[in-house]
Amino acid sequence: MTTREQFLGRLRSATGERAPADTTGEPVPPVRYAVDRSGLTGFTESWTALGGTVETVTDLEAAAAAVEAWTAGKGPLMVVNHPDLAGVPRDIDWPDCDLDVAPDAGCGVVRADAAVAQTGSVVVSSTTNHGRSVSLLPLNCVFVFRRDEIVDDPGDILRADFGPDGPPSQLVLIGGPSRSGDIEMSLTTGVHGPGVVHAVVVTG
Amino acid sequence: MTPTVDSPPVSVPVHFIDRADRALHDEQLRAAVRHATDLLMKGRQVALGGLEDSDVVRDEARRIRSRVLSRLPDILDRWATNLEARGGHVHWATDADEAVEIILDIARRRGARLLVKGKSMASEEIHLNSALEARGHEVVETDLGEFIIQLAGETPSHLIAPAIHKDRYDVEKLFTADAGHHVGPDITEEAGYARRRLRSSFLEADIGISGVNCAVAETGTIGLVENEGNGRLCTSVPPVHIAIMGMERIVETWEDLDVILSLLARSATGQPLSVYTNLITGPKRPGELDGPEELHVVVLDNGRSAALGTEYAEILNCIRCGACLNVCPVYRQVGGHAYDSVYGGPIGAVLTPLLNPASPGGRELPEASSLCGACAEVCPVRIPLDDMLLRLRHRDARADSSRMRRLGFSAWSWLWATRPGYALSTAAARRSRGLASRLPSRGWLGAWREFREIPPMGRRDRRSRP
Ligand code: SF4
Repeated sequence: MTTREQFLGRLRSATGERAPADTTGEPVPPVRYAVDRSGLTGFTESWTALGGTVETVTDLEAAAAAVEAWTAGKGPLMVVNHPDLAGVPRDIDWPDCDLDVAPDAGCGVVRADAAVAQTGSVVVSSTTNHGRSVSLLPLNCVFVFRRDEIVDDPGDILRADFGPDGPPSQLVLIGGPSRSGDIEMSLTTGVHGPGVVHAVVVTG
Repeated sequence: MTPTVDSPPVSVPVHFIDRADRALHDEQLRAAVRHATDLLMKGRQVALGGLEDSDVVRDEARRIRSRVLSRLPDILDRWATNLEARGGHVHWATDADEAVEIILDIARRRGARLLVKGKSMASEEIHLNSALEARGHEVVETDLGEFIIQLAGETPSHLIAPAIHKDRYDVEKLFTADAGHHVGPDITEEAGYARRRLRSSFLEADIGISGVNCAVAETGTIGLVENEGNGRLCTSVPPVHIAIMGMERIVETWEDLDVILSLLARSATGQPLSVYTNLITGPKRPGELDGPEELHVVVLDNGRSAALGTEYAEILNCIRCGACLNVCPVYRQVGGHAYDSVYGGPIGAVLTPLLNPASPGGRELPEASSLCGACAEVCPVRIPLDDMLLRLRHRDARADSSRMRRLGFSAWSWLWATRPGYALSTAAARRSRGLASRLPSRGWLGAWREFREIPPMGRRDRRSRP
């Protein structure tokens, strides 16, 4: 089997003795967009264009009520054990549950770390949500976050300092419902991930 | 998984020209490819309009990618160290056989029966499915398009729209045979069947396999973009995740990643970002209920290093967006299968001779281009694809020019180097023009004549005009 040294050694001889390009002092400028999008208005515009829905509430108590109302009748409810979601009634309490029951959930509720106005994305971390399935397996998904967590551009997330622990095991930017155009380029939603997605934004 | 529809084995013609000819007579294929590539091109144009100045971003992307190539060993080294510190395992594969061996080894050790796969061109490159199946493992493709072509027993025909050549009625047949009851031709119904059918595979799978769109050295991260969520499922649900990464699919920093991501989905599908931008840094951590216990990344050379340090090195900057396929007048007429290579279109016509010089496509595909330059025009990282195609042709022509051909060209250059010689040749051409219409209409001369008009010549040559 090829070792790292052998593999990289071959590349070193292939790239030759060329001086390595100077990589210092050349900061990569931020990506600039044609239209500035920011805040709740910007996010709402982008997220709804992708097929998501948005609801604003004033506090966490109202958020819990909004989640309960939206998820009613959508099957067993799986909710992440997060202090901000403590008021949300649940059938499955993630991660204090048996992994085998996760596929039965009809609806998942997660705490998004942030949202991006420019692209209409919610930012979901496996650290905050103790794993990945809640925003992945159910057909319906609710993302809860605060208004001041909405950033302008993806770069505000990607260029952030992750601190000494580095990025989470999985950081995912989610832009609307799961979609596919694989049959005749015709758009179908929910082919694997959640097909119905709802953002609950806490403004207070 | 074996194909569910028993179709007689179709022999693939050896030469591009014959495969192209077959494609040109397939009206459904041509209409489907035109429709899809038109939509993708329009989407790209609109999406790039979302950037303040996409040309500036493309220049930056080219600079980022070229800088990576110039320091690739150091960057890979740093990435691997960081990923290993996060609990990931990095494997180094010189060629396809070694990559397959590494993956088979993991599958054996884990006693894996079922593997689920997200879209990965690198896995196509190493013919992973057939190797796994030969050892008794079951492999299920989970991207909707890939699932369809797996059922059909075919290979992808486009980098990002693998089943571009199938319509809902083809899918109806395939899914009905797979399900044992009628499915389709309603597209929503077909997609619903795929969701249910594949969901049980995800939950039962022992290993999930994915590609890598772009790794990030500074944190040991691998990035995977996709729209369906099957990539996220493959990398989250099974207890083991194996990612196969072409050795050049990496950037140094998250700033660099920001630039690449701002172009990738825009150029590929006309989206600002794909629905899922998965950024994975190691296996599951304490406190997480799910996620893979083991994360393996297989870094694949498979001929790439032969291009490093050559005039073709820049081809390794490719981010596999597929835009060059969509604008290519050849691809748009014949589709991906005519190339009979893992990579079709302009990127395939350059990459195939470099990765696989001994294959028939290695000689023929650089010819499968009109050299119009549309590919280089749209490439988000500005790879001079048309220049490279021309250089490859030049290289091949030099390598195999027959003695007669060389003599002919020397005589021609000698003749045209003198004024009387030039006048003689144009006079001869003027006289013999009528002869062309009398060439036989059959045989190779006929084939040559069929698509050619002999241009009219002026009565006097340019040099004798006052
Ligand atoms: S060569 Fe350029 S346009 Fe073609 S797939 Fe690669 S990045 Fe895209």
